Amino acid sequence: MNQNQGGNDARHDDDSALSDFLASLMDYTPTIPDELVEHYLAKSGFQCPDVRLIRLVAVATQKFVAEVASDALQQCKARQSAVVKDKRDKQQKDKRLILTMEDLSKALRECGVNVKHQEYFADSPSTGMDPASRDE
Amino acid sequence: MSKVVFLQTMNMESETLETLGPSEFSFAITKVAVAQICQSAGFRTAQSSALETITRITTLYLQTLAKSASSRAASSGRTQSNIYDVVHALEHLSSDQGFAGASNPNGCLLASSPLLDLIKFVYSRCEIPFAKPLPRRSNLSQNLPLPQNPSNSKQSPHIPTWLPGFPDPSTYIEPKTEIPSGLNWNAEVEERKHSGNEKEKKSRLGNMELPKKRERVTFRMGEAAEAKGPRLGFRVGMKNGVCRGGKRVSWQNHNLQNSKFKRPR
Repeated sequence: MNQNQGGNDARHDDDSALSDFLASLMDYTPTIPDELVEHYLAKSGFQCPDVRLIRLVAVATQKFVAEVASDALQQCKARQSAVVKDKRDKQQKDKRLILTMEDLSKALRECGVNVKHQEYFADSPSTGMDPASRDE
Repeated sequence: MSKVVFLQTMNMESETLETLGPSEFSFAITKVAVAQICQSAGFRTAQSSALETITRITTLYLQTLAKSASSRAASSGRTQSNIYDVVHALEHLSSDQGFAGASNPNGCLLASSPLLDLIKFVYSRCEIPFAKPLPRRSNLSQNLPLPQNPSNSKQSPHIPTWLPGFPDPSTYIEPKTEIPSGLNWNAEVEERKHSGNEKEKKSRLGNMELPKKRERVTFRMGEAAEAKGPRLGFRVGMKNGVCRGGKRVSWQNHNLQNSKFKRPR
């Protein structure tokens, strides 16, 4: 009996924490606007009259994108720290954090998304090839 | 590859938003939102291809979450999703990277770690509202009333009234002057003869009725046909089609008995 009561208390705590969170969601404005989220949800067949769930989905997507962006940022910084030798270059490059396809593809690979992009576009099949380089 | 400054993205997009179609419009708005998130993560600029890729992934993530939650609700016999469906969908999408408690199927959903991580994320971050105000479309939020069709209930009581009505009967009921097909051809020809409408018969002679006395048509393989009087011959070449390679095909039992009929093509 005590265990059950303990379990029930824990569930009540979860419920109350969740309801507090959902209430606070209404104050928090997600970066992805509600109308846009509603559009995509309607496109996918998600029906819900509760606005808080829409905010929840928006916040979940924002969290996902933020994680991917921060992973890509770490990749970018890791590459810069490997390349940098002069102090002058380092100061210049700190200001120019660019989201590139390479960093993005490495960050997305951890999420299970394989993104391949063309490294360059060539006029003919033999452009840039020499016997030492491998075929792409 | 061109690099796009984030602020430039937001300003550019707002000018051209009015000229876009609906799917491009939503994509452009998503691009602005994603650019804001990347800027808050620390990036200053982005390659345009990279920004488009991550925007595409964002839309796919949103749609996957929604589809997963709605299919979860549908499999439980509900049309509207609730928080449990959403949390299940979150767990499903986080199962790639793994989360604490993934191996425990009996854990309480409301205490699942993707949800808790989400709560921590919200509490820790300052809000980043969207850059530009969006025009709110109030038309879409109204529920359109289902057209009630009263004629359904009288003529077809087995059809629920909330279904749309039948279209104009002339579009789906075939008029009886159509050309009949196949097996009972002769029977229908007899019927029409008995119905006694001479004009109808004559008008349809060219289409489908075969006169009873027809000339014999012969086929000869591989040689020029010799037309003898009323007989017509058709030359069947040996080098193409069915007779390729010189094999013989017997057509003796298949003489068509009409020389004058015209098949409608």
